[in-house]
Amino acid sequence: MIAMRARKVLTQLFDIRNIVGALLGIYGMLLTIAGFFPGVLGNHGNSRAVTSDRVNLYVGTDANWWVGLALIGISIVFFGWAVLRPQRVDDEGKDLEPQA
Amino acid sequence: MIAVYFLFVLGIGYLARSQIASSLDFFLSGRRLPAWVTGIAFVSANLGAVEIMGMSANGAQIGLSTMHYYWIGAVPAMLFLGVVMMPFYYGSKVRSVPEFMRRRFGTGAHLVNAISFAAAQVLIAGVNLFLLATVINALLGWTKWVSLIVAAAIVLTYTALGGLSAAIYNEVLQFFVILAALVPLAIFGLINVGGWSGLRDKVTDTRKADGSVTATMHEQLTTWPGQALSGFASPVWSVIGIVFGLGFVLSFGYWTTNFVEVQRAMASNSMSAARRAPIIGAFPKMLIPFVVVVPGMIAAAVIGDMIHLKSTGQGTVTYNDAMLLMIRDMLPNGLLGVAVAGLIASFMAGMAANVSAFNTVFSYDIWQQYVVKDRSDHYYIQVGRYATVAATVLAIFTALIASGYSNLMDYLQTLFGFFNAPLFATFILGMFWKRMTSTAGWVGLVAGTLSAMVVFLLSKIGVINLPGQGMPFLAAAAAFIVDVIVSVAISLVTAPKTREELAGLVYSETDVSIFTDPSDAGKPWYLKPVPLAGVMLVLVVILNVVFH
Repeated sequence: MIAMRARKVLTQLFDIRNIVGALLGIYGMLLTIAGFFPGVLGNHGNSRAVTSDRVNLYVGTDANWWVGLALIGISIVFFGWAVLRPQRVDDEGKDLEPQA
Repeated sequence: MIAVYFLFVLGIGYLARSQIASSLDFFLSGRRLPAWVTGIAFVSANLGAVEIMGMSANGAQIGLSTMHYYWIGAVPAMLFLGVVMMPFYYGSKVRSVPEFMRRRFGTGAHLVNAISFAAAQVLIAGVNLFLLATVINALLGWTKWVSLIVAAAIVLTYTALGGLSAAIYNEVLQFFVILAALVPLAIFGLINVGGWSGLRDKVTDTRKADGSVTATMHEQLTTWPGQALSGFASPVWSVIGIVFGLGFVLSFGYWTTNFVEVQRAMASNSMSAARRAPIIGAFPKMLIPFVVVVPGMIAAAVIGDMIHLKSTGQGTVTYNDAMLLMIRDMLPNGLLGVAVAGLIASFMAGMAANVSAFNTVFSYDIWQQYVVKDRSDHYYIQVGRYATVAATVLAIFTALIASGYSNLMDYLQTLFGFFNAPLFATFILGMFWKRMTSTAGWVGLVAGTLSAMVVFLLSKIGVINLPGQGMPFLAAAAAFIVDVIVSVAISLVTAPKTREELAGLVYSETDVSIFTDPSDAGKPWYLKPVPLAGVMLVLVVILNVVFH
């Protein structure tokens, strides 16, 4: 029984939704830090404009935290989904689709 | 960031390994994955290097006409697979598309199909690997050799350890990393260029080196009649060519018979999930062009090097560089890391998909069927692992050849594309016409493939002149028609298979109950395949109308 329960915890911890959530969350936090403290990555303002372009496309370092916060939001959605609809494990240890 | 990503990728391979007890676990994930996972993997397997580089290049070169590859091509074909063809594949319990071929038409057609498929996978994996190494080389500065071997080693490790589960779980992860890279590129790009109307104002004519215009501004901003895409002079024939050639034959052939794709849906945990996988995948598929094609169009409208290429037909960059130029000119350090991780993710997804489809077909359809039969199940897992190693080593060599002769690789890819169109004709006839015989199966395939090659050769020596990308549409249409005519003619003079042999393989000999899953009763519409497909169809029609 203990082995079954350990397996169950492991299956839920390594649910693909938690893995996606974790990776996007880490990216989100790194980007948010890079956005609020641009010095960390050696970025400076809007100086990267490529002169031959018709419009300056460079988005600046604020874009980092915009995307960072969005990714953190998405990762919370994934964690939330995994918590609300956990994967069920049947007797043979097969993973079942969460039932609606 | 890239290091974090690699850690996750290898971790998945290691975890998936603990779930493997039988060869079905290794090659088809034990048929136990939920529909949304297989649906995303279905799209992600196709979202490789060729797709992202190629379709953004098309966006830069011919603009909105590129949308036909998605809204006329891929999406309707994916819905057709889910609604009509999946019940035969999943219901007959075959383990691969070539195996369906063998059950329906015997070993002649099977051998042709299995070998040509396996060879094509190694080749395409090599092309993906080559593009991956090029990108790592351009963005991180590693030498091509080092990038090639590191990339190959990572893909090899997780596919050999965890089999299809590892490949599929990684495809899901890759899908979201790719989106995290591409969505900001499209949104910030559109903001900087002044929105959709700002982009429209800045699009320019596409010219060849001799000054002739290949795609006018107007053609790039409308999808129909798509003459810049097809290269047909008459708008009517252009529409027919796109709908029949690209849509019906080429895309249906690719999405419904290519085992790389079908394998993902086959890994689903029920008939209903297997049918919903491609239908769920159709939704992201119809939105992907907005983050792939649109950045390509922005690059062509704004970036100096690209404008030079478009207006003179020559320059230091190629259309394939559109996405890389956008990343270079737009993103600050930080987002740049995400973008590089996204591109690497996309290329590894493509290569892993080819490798995992290859090892299944090699182990089940070639090794178990013709070379070493009747060994323990465990033996075939080992064969699968060795096949994975062999495929990766071969892919490295293909990548090295590709780096030397890029044109040769283009031709070979076109050549393998020829196999898909007649395959679709043979499958669809075989599934709905019980009179069709085994001999007709393989003769039709060979005749269809040959006729596609004839069209290709005629266009090479200049008898047929199509300036755009219409040649493959024409070749596919010819292959389809010839295959159908030859198959029908031969079936009428050879002996058909008995009814018992065809149960589950042909529509009229199959219990209609496989088209309904008893567990579906009482479920909401979005959990049933057919109503869900109806909604997707309406959405794609709306997209086609809005951007006409």
